[in-house]
Amino acid sequence: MADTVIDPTGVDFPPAGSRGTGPAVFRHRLVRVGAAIVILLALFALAAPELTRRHVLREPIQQDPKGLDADGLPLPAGGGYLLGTDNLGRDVLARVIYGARVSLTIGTAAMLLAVFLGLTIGVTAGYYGGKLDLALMRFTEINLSVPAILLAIAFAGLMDGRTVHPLPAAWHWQFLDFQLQRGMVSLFLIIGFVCWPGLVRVIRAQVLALREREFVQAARALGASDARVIAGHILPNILPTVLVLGAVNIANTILLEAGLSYLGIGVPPPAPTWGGMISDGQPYFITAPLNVIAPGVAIVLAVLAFNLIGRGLQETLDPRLNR
Amino acid sequence: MNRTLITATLLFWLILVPAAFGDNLPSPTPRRGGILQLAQPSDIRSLDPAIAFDSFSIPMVHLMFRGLLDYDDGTGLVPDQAKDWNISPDGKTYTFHLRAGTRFASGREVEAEDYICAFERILSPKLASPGETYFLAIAGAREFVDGKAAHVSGLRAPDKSTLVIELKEPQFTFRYVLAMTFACPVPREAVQKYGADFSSHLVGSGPYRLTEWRRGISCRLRRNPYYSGPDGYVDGVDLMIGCDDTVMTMMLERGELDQVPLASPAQAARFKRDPALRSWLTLADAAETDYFFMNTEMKPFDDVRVRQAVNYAIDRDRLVKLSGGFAVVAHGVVPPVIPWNNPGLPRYDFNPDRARALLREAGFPSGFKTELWYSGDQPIYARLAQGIQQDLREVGIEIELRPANLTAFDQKVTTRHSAPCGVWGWFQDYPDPSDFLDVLLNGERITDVECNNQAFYNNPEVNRSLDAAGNSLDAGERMRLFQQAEDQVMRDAPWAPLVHERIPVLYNPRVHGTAPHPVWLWRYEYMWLDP
Repeated sequence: MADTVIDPTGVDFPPAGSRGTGPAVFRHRLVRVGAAIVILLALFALAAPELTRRHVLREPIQQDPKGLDADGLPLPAGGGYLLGTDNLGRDVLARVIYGARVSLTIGTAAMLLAVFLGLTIGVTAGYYGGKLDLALMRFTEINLSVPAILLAIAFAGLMDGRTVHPLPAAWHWQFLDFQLQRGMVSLFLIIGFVCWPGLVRVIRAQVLALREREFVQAARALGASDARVIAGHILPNILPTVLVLGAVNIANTILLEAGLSYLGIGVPPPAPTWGGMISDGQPYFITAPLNVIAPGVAIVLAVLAFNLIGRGLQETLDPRLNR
Repeated sequence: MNRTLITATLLFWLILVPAAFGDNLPSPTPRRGGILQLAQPSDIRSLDPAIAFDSFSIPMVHLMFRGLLDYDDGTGLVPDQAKDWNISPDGKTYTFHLRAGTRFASGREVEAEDYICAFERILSPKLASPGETYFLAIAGAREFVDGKAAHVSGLRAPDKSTLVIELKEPQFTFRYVLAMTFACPVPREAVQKYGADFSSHLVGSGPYRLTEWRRGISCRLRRNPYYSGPDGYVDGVDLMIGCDDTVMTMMLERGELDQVPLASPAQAARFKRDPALRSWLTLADAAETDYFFMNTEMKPFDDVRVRQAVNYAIDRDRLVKLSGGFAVVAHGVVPPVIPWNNPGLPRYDFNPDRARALLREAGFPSGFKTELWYSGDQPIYARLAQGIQQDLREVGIEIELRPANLTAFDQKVTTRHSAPCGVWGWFQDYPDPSDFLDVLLNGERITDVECNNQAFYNNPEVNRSLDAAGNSLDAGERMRLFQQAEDQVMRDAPWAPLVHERIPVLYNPRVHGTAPHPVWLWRYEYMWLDP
């Protein structure tokens, strides 16, 4: 399959590489393994509340008085708890499964935000070029030079419950005030906002190459507007790249979420998060290792799965790699 | 006696008897020498007696700096570098005669002027010492702080070895202030020479002196050759900086460390449970109260029935278990180790039905929603907050947790009409009930920002008792007034007292003299090492 088919008219959508790839992608072994893991995690995450309602799974935030032994230590695996309990007597299994809800939701939402920002900036810079390109790319490089995790920590540090008054207090327009609060929404915004710079360079490079291609030139010559050229010709052709970037990026966003939760600046307790569980369980590593290992394995699985999908997609969609 | 019997007897005496008695064996004579090996997770903030004010710094500062008064093995005050001390009958004038021959690590004799220099240094606004407020009781201190006077008029040195301190008003607790590390003398020529940089050229009159401090890496103290008081046993202290709890515990077990202070409940529980390691664990009953404060100026906590309901809804025994068992249930404001005893105190035992009834009476039959603030930097508060959250959910109160870093938390909860409730712990500054009741719950001390009374609790009757106790010099009368105040506080329930922490400290068996101290928690200079 070719990456682009030159359409002489330039008006119709070019039969872009993405069109016939649906089934081909899923024939790839890595993609199938990765997708299987992701689907499994997602199914667990979706079904968790239902499993709790049917008493298959415990409440992830319920501290069971019998979940701690006489010395106040977590219970080992087995007995009533498949993976033991944590430092407050809560079921580790339930917390790992509910943790998938937090991780996958924030990971996906942050990835979408990052891809949206990356696409917007990358396409604008690549397509319009000139001084706009120069400004946008230098801005991106400045962002790229700060490690994402440090930037995220700095942003998360701002979420300390303070109220922001966007307008001068004298104007009495308090309805615009908002509180900087730690939670799922602020966390996905933070992670999305620190993850986009990596995407911009790749997308811009693709757009730069596409811009000079004959079918784009032809569309322009026929009087198609910029919006039409971008929507009809550029975007469909960079879709494969975006898919790969998205899949790999989701692994990064999940890792970043786990990292922030580990540092105690993620979603506040008692919400179960994988990173937070590792941080809480760390002192118990000798007496109750599953407190660390279970969420650790979950993080590894999720990150690995999305990396596998990304890798598989890349091999399927990028003809240069196939050759 | 046949051979087996002899062997058995020998075995009994050699192994079983020492094992049975463990550390309780009458200790052999203390031995001088050796270096105490210590470690801490993060660097000491400061060793300057005017600046240091946290539980990691103070024990080190106390090795290098000594002052007029110190505590005996309990909470009694004894003269340290003073020959004698005298308080005038009106409670306003303190006179100290310094012990002759007391020298700084530089070799110079300590003079009364050095104390005046130290006190004025703490009061100088440029230094921004956390101890400033304690010394404002001295006559003329306010004028000095405001820049209206060059010296504090209440501080006088009639001769080299006599120090007279005059207070604005009689204040019983000022004697305890003089036992804090803030009140240790500093050589005035060094302060003049280095100014604010004195913090990096520290010289004190304590048994040890600083020989090396590599910031963030290590710190060494060795004997002060000029020290003349009752000497410490060890020749010095080596402090390693930057190890986490697990690493420190492993090093302790390998014999590379002598003490793990403030061990995590996880590590401490492992030592508690292992018969071979049990004797390594010491529990220091901290003069401290962890409490849940309710802002009495904010809805719905402005209703006393709601606050009482919260008190009944909290299962404190469970909170003790959540803290790994390293705590005791708190029923009142003042920790018992102060020493303090208030038998008549109204108690709130765990009773969710009573709590629901009170909530119904207060007009919240289906509970309410609120947010709970705590400092996420200390794991204990996260545990307590989550424990309370669950208990209150049982009676219908939905709580959202708001963890924040210490600075943000502090700013939030000390600002008026800002945080509805939260969890915090107060460590004593000195062993007197006023340090809890008056500092944290006197309504006359309420300010709009930076208010220590996080419940913004203001009951004129309690304020009167506390003020009367503050001015009284009669110990019995003071106790009665404080008991009266605590009783009323618990009836009004601005707090739900939670637990008093018992701090797990691990010691290598080669260390002796590790009995916890009610004020200093531990005293390195009392420890001695096996050869």
